[in-house]
Amino acid sequence: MNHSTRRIRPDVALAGTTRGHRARLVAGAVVALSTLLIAGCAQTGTSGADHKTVLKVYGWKGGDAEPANVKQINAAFEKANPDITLKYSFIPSAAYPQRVQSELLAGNAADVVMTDSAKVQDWGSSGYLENLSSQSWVSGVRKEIGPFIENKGKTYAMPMEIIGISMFANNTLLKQVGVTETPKTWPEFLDDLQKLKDAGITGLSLPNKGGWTGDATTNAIAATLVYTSHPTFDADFVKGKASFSAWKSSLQQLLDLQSKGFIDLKSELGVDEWSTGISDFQAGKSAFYLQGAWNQATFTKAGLDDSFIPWPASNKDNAKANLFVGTMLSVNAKTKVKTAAEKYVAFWSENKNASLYLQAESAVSPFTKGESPTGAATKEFVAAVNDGRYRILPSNTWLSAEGETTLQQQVQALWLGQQSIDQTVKNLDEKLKPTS
Amino acid sequence: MITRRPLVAVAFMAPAVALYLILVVYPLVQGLILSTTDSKIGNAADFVGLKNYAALANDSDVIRALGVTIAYAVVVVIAQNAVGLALARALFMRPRIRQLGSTLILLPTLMSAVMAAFVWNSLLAPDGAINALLKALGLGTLTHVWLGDPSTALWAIAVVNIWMFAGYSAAIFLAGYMNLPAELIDASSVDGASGWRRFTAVEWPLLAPATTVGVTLSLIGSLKVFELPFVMTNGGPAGSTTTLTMVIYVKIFGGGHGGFAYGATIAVLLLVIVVVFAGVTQALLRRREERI
Repeated sequence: MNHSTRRIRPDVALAGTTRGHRARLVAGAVVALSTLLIAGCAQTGTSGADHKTVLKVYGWKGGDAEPANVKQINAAFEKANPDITLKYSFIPSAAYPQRVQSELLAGNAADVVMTDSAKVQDWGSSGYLENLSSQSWVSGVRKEIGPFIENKGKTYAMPMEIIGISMFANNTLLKQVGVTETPKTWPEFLDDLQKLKDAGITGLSLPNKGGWTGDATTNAIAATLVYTSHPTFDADFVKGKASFSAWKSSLQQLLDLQSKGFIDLKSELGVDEWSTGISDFQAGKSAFYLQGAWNQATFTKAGLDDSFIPWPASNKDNAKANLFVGTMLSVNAKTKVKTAAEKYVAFWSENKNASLYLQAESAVSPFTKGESPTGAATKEFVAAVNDGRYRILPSNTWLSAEGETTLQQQVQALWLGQQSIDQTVKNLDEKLKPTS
Repeated sequence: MITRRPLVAVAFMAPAVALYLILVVYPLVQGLILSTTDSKIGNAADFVGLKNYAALANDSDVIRALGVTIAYAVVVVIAQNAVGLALARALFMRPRIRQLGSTLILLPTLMSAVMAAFVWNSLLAPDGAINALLKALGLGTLTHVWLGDPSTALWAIAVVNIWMFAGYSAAIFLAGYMNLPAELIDASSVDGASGWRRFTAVEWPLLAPATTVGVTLSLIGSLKVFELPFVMTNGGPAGSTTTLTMVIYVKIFGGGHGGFAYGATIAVLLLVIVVVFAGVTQALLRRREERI
């Protein structure tokens, strides 16, 4: 027998101990393990050492790409609540549903989770979110935002923002062709695009590889062309009383831009809207571009002289702002620190805290008495909102994430010439109609 | 000993069986149960019987995605194994570079699919390196919006898949080559068989076990492809690269439409397809092995 195989290693010397010694070691190990388990359990809840409440929060804002002043607001919360230790985890939006939904199902998600209207519908109705209807901030929420944060009459989220998805204009490029004001009407827009084309400058870019820009642009145009004359379109469509045939002119407007030689829609399908589109616009590669207002902070930081404006879809100066009920905060129904979680959510609803976030996001307050910060770049857009000229994307009904995917594919098929506008609206009517 | 004491045999098997039941059978059964409910998320749901399965038959999105998935799998399985086989043969014939070569061709396989997708996204962009190279070579007419055209997008993704996993297939075939009886190879050389003739008459038949493994694994992998189309095209343009896994993802995590249970139903469909396709393929290839 090989002697070396019987050699006793110092780190596994347990075999050489006496029975009593071994029992003491086992008992010690059990105590140590128990302590570790208790410490682990204290990750959420009250920690033993300083009796502070540990509050875990998940969000897809607050990362390097979109800091959104989340760190500052969290620091202010901890300062105002010295008995609470905040553990904020940034989770990229692309990975957020997979991770958080799974954790909610397993019962170990954070105490406060960032949500949006689609998540409120699914997670709230299935009992994974706390009913926040009794919170004091609920009465201050703008009336039209109610359906986005509620399910069957119960409030499951505190809305953090209403944010624009609309057109950015590069003022520097416009000045190069003698345009000193951003377009307010369709003819003005066409005129600007012609001047840019004549000067050899790319007028408009709508990178649409993932489909998002096509759907967002169609919605931004429809905000004016559909909702000015038919403001209840979304509710009517859900009731089966409206058809997407009302959207024909909105879909046509983009095809018109192509036929006038201002854009090649097929080529735009090869450009990624997130990785390439944003950086290209920031680098001054086109004069007009469509994206979310949350990019304004990045553009400002990069020194870009730009304006964020409603899509000038109409012949009249009555363009509507295209708004989206963005991020929200909800409380995990299984939280053990409900009071602290509700306190955190309420903290974000206060003007002085929310305005930091809204400023960074270039967003509008969802509260009737909320302050909507205005910057030089966004003043025209915010003015339209303050003037009542806006439409809110129905992300809680037919434009849920799945509905949005349908719209994206249909618009891409139209841009490719695979189907006519008539066929597109027919498909939209059929695929987006309520299932129950 | 064990045959005389069956309880001992059961005791030895119990841990493995228990683990299999907990880790494989239980989730499968839960998935099946979920697919018979109207769950929006989790267990809060009502039993709806086979309603979700009935809906599958009339769901044009699912039928289209099934077609895309099968077409993708067929092309990837054939091309990936063909390239892998060619690489393996090249390495087998060149013993001096075999070790270094077999390491190098495995490098793309070691890369994460998401990273590979981002890299190829950039290469395949309209102003990316591939179009730039074509222009530099005087082949400007061949430049294309690779990922934005439905006629090329799926195959562009397939190329990335083949690029990633051809080395993996090559490693399998190379292992097969290394197990070929040297005397048979020598005898075929003495008989004057070389090149293509030796490959078709000697090597290819004797590589049957490696072919079975390579084809089965690549078939399973390509039927379940998700990361590449998700990152490279998001299923577009116009749904032309939407695979079954992407439909499952949208239904389960899409939100708002209560498609959680329906997503589970499509996942069951995918499971059945993978099991049937892989099972039939493996059975046919095993029969071929026996014939040889």
